[in-house]
Amino acid sequence: MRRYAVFLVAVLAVLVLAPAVFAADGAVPETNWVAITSGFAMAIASAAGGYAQGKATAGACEAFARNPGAAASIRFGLILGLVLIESMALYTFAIVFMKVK
Amino acid sequence: MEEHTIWVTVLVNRLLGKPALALLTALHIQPANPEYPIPNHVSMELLVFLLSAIFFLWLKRRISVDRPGGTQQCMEAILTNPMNVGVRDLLEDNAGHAGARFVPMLGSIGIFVLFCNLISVVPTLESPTAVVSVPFGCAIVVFAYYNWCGLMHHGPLGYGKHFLGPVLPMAPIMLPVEIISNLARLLSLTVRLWVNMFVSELLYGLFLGLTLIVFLFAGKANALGYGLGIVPLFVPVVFILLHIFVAVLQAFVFTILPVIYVSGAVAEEH
Repeated sequence: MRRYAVFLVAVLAVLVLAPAVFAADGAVPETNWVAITSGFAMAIASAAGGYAQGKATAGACEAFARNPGAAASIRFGLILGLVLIESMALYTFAIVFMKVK
Repeated sequence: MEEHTIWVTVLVNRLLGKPALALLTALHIQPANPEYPIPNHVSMELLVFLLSAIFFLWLKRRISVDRPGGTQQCMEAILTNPMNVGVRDLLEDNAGHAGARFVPMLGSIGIFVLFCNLISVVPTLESPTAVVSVPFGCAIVVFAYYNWCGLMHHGPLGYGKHFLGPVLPMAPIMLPVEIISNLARLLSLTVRLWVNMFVSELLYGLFLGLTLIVFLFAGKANALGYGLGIVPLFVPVVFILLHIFVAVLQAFVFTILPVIYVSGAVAEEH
């Protein structure tokens, strides 16, 4: 397990340092850090949003199982909660869209 | 990204282009495209307004208590319905019986946002709410309206007391927090509506492009490829359905959040 981790770190190091090869002909392409960071930011936002929506859905299903008569209110609260959580992940997408060239 | 002018924009600019350009020049504003000074989203908003006005004026003549038609019953479901998600129901739940006086304004905003969101389903039209200035405008109207309601109901001093929090010693902390959270409501209303509409259109366009490439690639192979290549083109239909679902849901959220804000502004503390 540790050997694979060391191998992975070595591969990543080679990938990050690879553009230095271009130094021979004098043109070094600038790393687009904004794009890399945006990728990670969007992944984290979607993961957190997905986890939160899972918890909301689980709570709603359990509440419905305990009290099927309140189905309408539970469904209403579930939909509203899911929409608001979704919008949190989409704020990150808005930043990504505005800042990545 | 350059903007493709749709046929509605061309028509509106033919009618109102010269006065619009004169007005913009008098205000020293440079339009993005001087040939068509009225942009796509403004002409689409005007189209939505015109269609809604015609529809509701037509409906108004046909309203009857004894024999309501199907259209009247559908529109009444927006106002009050068995699932308690009509505009009047939401206001009664949150603002009490006196809440019905807010129905005209909040209902109009909700219906406008709903029609703006849904109009992009029509093939050659696009949604004005996918451009950030349109949801910003709607959010400014909501912000001004709920603050106005609070000021009218409590008076300036009484409404200002709302921002100071429950207990007077906490006022220095509560005041900036309340002001920032009120401004954040403006931002969140705008971004939520804009990004949801923009992303669902983007997803649909993306998958349409991908399946179109599959279709063209399969078509180059042989005649059977053209026949079988049609099948991937049905995939974006799912995204149109998703877009309709998101459009209705976002219009609903854009109605219920102003209901909650207005109820909070005119609430009497006990």
